[in-house]
Amino acid sequence: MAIIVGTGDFKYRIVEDWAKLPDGWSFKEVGAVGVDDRDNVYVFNRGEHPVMLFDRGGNFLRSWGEGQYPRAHGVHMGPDDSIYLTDDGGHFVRKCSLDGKVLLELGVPGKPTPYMSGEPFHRCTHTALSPKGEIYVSDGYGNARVHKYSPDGKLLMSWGGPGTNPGEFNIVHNICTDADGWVYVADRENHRVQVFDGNGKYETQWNNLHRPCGLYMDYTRHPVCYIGELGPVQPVNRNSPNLGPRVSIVDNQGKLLSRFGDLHAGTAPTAFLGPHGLTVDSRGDLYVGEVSWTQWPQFYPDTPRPAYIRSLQKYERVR
Amino acid sequence: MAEIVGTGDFKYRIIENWAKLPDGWSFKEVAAVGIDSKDNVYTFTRGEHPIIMFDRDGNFLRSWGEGQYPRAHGVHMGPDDSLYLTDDGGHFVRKCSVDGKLLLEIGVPGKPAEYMSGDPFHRCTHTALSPKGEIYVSDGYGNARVHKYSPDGKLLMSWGEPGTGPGEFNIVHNICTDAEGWVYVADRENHRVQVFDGNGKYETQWNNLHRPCGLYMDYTRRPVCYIGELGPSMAVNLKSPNLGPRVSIVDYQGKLLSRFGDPHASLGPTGFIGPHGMCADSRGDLYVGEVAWTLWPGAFPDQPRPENIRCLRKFERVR
Repeated sequence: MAIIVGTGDFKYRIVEDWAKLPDGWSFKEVGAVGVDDRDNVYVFNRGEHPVMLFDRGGNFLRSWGEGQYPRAHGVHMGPDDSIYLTDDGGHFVRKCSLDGKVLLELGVPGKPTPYMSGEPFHRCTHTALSPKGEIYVSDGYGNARVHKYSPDGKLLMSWGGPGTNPGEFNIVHNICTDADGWVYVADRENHRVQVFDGNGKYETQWNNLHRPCGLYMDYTRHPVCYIGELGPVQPVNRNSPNLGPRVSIVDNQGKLLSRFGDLHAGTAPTAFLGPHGLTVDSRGDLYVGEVSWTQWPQFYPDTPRPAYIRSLQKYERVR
Repeated sequence: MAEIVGTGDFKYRIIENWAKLPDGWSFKEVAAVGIDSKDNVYTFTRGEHPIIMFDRDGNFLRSWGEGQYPRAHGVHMGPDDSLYLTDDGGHFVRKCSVDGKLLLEIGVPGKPAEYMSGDPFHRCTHTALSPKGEIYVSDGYGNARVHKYSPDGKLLMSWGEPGTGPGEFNIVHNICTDAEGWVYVADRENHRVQVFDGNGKYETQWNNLHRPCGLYMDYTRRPVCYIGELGPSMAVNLKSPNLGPRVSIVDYQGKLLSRFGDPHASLGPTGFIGPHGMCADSRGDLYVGEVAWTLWPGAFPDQPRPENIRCLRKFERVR
């Protein structure tokens, strides 16, 4: 019996156990997911094989990056069959070819800048591209900044500081762009997405979200935005229903179109633990990577963490 | 040299050690503060003397309520110099005369309603009055509701559910009203104040806040709103500057007029730890009660909690 989630135009059939990993392999957990123009799926994970590649049927193709990525965080796919990988534990961004050749590196691996200095990077989180191919980097856990680089990696400008006002950030966790050049920033612990023009001028914000964590937009005009929201983890509200973790789909102005996830965190197929990285393929099918291993003790401080926790699921669009 | 804090029309001189407590007495911490028509100050505390009353110069007048209030949370002063005391540990609201005589009790002391049932009360937090004297109760930690009672304590209606949409709540922590009947609700872990009409119809929300915790408004038309904001308490952003704890003063449309507090939680002269309950007197002087004892371990996980932590200050308006 197929399980259907979502509402309105954005309904999905859950595909359980989609990824066919080689025997004995594990994601541990999935930081982010990307899809190339052949609908192959790149899983940036925190296990021993940082990038694992699957076809759209979930068949394993290959892996790369072993030993090179201390803590997988973000994936953005470039238009030229490149993949931008952001590693928050390593404090760097790498542009790679689809077989893992490093084409460009930003930041100094293993060398964070001083906490909240505003200088790149201190636990950078994600990347996105402008219409001209300029590179935006969200940064992150130890800065409250967005940096803009030329396509060849020259720092052009940065914006943002810690705080709660427009243009200020409280964990800059994800970034995406659309074909009009708008920049969308997941300002996670301010519980909002902020929208900027390409030069960092504040335009608006989307509220009514809970800890927006992962963002994905197709690179078109007025695309919808897929948002992974984290759930409540403080003792004061950990047991409250209807706060996530969940996936929300909003229009280009932030209006809610579809939302799914159970009332509480969970491991059921319809539930989430930490929807952290999302991507959509050419058919509209959605992949959600979860940082389940990290989130588990926050939801279940008294329950030992299982050896295996689901951290990737495919949601096939129902039309 | 007295410290001056705040900006614009809302600047204050800090009065340290304002309250002259009897020898050996302690507030432990101050959840809320109320002021009567003679500018006497009622502190609702979590020490052995729940209500401790002072004149405007901080001279001790009397105490009452010993043994009757398990966990002080909110104070609202009625127009007839009555006190509405909300006790979240006891799950009740009491209307008392200024000398502590019980005039009305809502809720059953010691008997919470079922968690998230929507029935009153599960750790109710605060009260406010409509222009007709109807009583609003924010409820709270274990419900996501606002209840409206007749002046004599009959339940008229309730609104709200757990969640992040308009009209939904994530820790309903405080409530206040103005003379036009608007109802302002501190939706603390949604990082916003929601504004409703007197029948619970959602009107708007104020964002760009960090964990708004305590609210105070003069009961006039279009008053300013004094907001105590809690600081970051999760490991991920505990060390970030410029997120509070702090006091913000906004106009009745939520526009920021003045803000003070150090970049981090602090016992320094201009710092806060947990600005939880506030009240302004007839001269515009502001009193801020803090739940410093409760929040100390969260703000300073590596430092032992001192015996007595500052938890009440007067801020004298500078004109």
